[in-house]
Amino acid sequence: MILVTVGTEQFPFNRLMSWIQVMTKRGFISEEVVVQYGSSTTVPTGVKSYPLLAPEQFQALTKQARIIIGHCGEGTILLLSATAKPYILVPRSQKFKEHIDDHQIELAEALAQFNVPIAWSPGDLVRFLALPRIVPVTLISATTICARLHDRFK
Amino acid sequence: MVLETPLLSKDVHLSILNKVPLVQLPVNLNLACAVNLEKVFQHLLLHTPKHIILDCSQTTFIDSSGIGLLIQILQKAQYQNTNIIIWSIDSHIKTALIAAGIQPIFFDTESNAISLIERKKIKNPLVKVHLSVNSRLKRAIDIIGAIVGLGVVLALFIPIAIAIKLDSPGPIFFSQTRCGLLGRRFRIWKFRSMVVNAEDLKKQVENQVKGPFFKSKSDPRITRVGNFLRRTSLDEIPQFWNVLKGDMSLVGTRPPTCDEVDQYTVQMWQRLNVKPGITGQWQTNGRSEICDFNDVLELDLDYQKKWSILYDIKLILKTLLVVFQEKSSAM
Repeated sequence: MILVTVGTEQFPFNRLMSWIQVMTKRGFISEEVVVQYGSSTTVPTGVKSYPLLAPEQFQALTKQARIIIGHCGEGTILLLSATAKPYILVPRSQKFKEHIDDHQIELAEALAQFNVPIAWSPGDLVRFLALPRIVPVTLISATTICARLHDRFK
Repeated sequence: MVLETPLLSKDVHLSILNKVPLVQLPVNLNLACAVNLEKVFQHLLLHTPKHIILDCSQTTFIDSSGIGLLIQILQKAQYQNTNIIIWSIDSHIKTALIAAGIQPIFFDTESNAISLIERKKIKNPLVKVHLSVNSRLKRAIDIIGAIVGLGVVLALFIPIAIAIKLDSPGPIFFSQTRCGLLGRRFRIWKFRSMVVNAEDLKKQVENQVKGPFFKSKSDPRITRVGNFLRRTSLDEIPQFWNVLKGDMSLVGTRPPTCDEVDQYTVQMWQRLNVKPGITGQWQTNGRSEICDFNDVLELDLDYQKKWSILYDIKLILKTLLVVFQEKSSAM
């Protein structure tokens, strides 16, 4: 099972939704998909979907999931860094009206330097599904992220 | 089945997931990459997959050979019922591909991605185009030249129009789809020098040159007035309209027909890295003597190497000299 989560932002993340749709359509995804779509206005067809998941429900689904695809929000990263499942992060962008600014892109660039899997395109998601890898937990503790961001933007 | 193969260079990857191949195209899809990718696709197509996905999320620049490669693989794939689908393409590159005749149905619009340019990883993707393409001075010379040329067209229009009409039934102008810069299709205009159903009669005329272009010394389709217009190059002057519009330049490569381009190898596509011209090295270096397309290609690539504003001006003057000499011999 693949779990897709976009957090609780007030902005839609339709781009990720259509990526999942197009990957299914072209045959890259054939297993079950569970989507937590938040404020997204388009939801892929043929998947189990929830606008929001209660914390215990979310925990249970992460345990079941083979792979997790999450948006690159701070809350989601903290939740995912506690799992031992392979996950990949998709940054929201201002250009596509997915957030008020591009901080998720900046965060993603910083995390990519720690070797955290980031998807900039549906192609990146396909390559990750073809070869999933687990992010070493110690690498992305909150303090190292802060230190790294501080160095980057000071 | 899961397979991940890094191929050829660090920015071209082939992944196969659930038997569907996904090819990541390189940042710069230029001749060198196109030659390598051609082999990858030949190999992939052997297995006749249902789909092949082309991931263009990295690609920020494409040259004419890159476009030629994509057109070729789309045609080959269609022939064997494999669907090629293009993902995450930059909007500028998409516009160029559609202008070159690639149908919009090949693009998955739900695959929008954040490009390397937006992430500021690539500063200026346009630096790799041929210098002549973005030269404002060249464009200024083209506009002035086109206005002067259209003045000549206006002055000669009535006598030429009457002569064409009296000699052979049909329209005064002849227009045809040609391939310009990066294979962009446009409608070229000339004074008609052949009989009306010339295209249908083409099969009956022997091609006297080698390679993907057509030439016949004593082409029976040419009318009497047409013969005169051709010798004096007057049939070509309506092309000043194409120059004014920006489809063509005064100096460049000879604009090929779409049938010719369909037969091009990725190397031959290189000639379309600059705008086509009314004149060029090909016309000024003994126009009718060249009988092999490879010589045309060589002259075109030589022009791209030698290009400068001064060189263009030299070729324009040389052309005028040739035309006036021919004209005096034609009178």
